[in-house]
Amino acid sequence: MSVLAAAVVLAWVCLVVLTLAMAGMLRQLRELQYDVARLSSPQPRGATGRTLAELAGTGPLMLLVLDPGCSFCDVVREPFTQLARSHPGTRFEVLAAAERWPSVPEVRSRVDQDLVAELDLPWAPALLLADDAGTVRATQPVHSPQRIGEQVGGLLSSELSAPNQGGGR
Amino acid sequence: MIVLGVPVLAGAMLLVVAGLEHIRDPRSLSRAANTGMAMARVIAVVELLIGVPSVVAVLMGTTQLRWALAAQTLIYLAFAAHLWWRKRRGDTSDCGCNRMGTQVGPGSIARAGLIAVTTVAATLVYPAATLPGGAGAVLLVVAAVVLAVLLYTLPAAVDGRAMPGSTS
Repeated sequence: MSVLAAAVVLAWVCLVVLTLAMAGMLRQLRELQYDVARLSSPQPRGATGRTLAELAGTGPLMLLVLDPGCSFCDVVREPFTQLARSHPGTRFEVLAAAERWPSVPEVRSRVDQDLVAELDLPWAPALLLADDAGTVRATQPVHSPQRIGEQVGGLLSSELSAPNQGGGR
Repeated sequence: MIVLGVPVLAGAMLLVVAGLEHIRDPRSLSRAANTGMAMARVIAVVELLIGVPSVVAVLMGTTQLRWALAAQTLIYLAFAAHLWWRKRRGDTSDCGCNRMGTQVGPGSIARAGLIAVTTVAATLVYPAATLPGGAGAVLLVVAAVVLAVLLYTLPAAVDGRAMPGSTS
């Protein structure tokens, strides 16, 4: 094959790659437009205040909701699991839509796509506080792995000591 | 067969760039591949140790460097398998392809798979896949650079960027 013929073939290869890239970018643009339209519309009812049987149990529940597609969730999960020892009366659980993280003894790990969809939290990772009856008292995005202890402590003290005040969302 | 040399050269260039990026910032690779920092540094060095001889092999046609093309096939094949496994598990976080922070998806998997297939074909016919000398070589090296740039951005364009804290 001559150099010229090879160059022509390669030009076609580059055109195919460019076409694929453009199709991908158009798809992402469409998704972005859909997200913008969804966020501009009136917000659906949040999770706070809803009662879900899956969240009921003995003692308050501190749930960390993770997304398998979120790399930030990796760094948040470990400090969260360590908090279980310092709050013995509280159930510490981790929820994700798909299995990705190994389970740890102190913290119950749930893989429940339906429950994640039901909660429909707009952030990941997110903290969710529920009471014994499974009523969601507050939801918050996790701000930083270093300060997750303070965030959990703040949620537990403020939300559970004030039973009739709304959540953090 | 020289038409095989260009995508292989582009793949080798991508390997060199990935190696340099991962040496500069091993933390991102460590997070993406779920390995320790030491292993991330080892992977970065291996990328360079395979990528640089592969570039030389395609440009010079040195028979003793056939191993570099075989190693390039293996590293891209392993990477494609790793990404495919992560995609199957529903993990769409950073693929570790480059510092653009692209999520795992069909674009990154197909890119790694196709480079592996092209490189194995070039390894089998080597040194016939070597680029010719003279003015034609300049044209083909420029084509390889253009292809490498397109392939560098392809996963981000097709699969989208992995956003920390985003939901998929």
